[in-house]
Amino acid sequence: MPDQKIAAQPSGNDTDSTMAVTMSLIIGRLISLFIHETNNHLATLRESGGLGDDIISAHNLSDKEKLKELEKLLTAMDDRIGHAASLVRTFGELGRHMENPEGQLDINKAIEGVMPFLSKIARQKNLKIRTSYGHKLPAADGNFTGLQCLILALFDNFCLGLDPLTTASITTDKTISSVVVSLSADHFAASDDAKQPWPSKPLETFAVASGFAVSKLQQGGEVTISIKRID
Amino acid sequence: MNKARVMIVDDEHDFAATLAERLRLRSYDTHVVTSHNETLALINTIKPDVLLLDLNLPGISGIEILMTLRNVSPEVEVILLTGHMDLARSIEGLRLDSFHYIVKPFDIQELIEKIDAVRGRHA
Repeated sequence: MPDQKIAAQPSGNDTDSTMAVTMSLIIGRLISLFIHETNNHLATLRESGGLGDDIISAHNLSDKEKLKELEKLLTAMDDRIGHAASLVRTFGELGRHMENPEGQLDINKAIEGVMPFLSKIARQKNLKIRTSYGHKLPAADGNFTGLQCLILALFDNFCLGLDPLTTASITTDKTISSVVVSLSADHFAASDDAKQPWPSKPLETFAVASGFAVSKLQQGGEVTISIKRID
Repeated sequence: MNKARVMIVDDEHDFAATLAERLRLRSYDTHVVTSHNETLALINTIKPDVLLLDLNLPGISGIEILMTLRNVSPEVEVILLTGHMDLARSIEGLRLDSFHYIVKPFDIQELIEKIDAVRGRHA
């Protein structure tokens, strides 16, 4: 996604317009990731069902080996349906939060709510992902959906600068006055994408309007992006 | 005419393995690989007639894969597998017209017709 696309949009001074365009890009990205992953599940289920049909048509089902094969196939299909159902549930929860974006800001729950999509982004770029959640983080009221969208957009852009097989870490922790989400990696490449102004002005506007501040710290090849609630 | 030798390239291993088995039951000679690197390493050993290529392999864009394949193995017929109709259309838009595509999830009969059609061009 996006940062390039977001940067290409007219930013101007109209925060509402910037927010709307940025939100629309992020939602578009979410839908695209959801559909791609759902299609993968459906394609696997369709082929598995078809293979089951092939086995039944082509073999005598008193053959114990074939029955075992069929049983294994049905178990795999059940697992796959479980994964697809979990994805649909997560997507539904995102939608429910979007209807009521303000609420108690449980930062760990916000990350878990977008984790299937972050994992998909990491997988597409051949990256590993590691999470470390802080315990007993203080909750506060805030824009839950804004935080989720921000994490997704920042992670997507962050991954552009990472070489394949790098581990991207997502950490939550508390500071003296707030809680913070950090994205970090120790092999941040100086690619053209990574050299873009960052975060883009529209994404920064989106963060601030949603009640968050974003900062970037780069030391050599190691980079850390922090998202903090503005009190 | 012998049935085609088909190489399936998809990082969704369960999908690829199941599809390979279904094609094998229909007498196609099938091989599964799950990465771009593995494809490049094996394509000239397996020498497939038809390559079923997922356009969303990790770490590389679909266009890059197509360009590389054209150089490494120009004679292989490629059918793109994609979950995005838009992506397939944009590839068409690039006038890479020696490539065919099918959108996941698809009907096996539709795929077989495509495999036989592209294979027939070289028979």
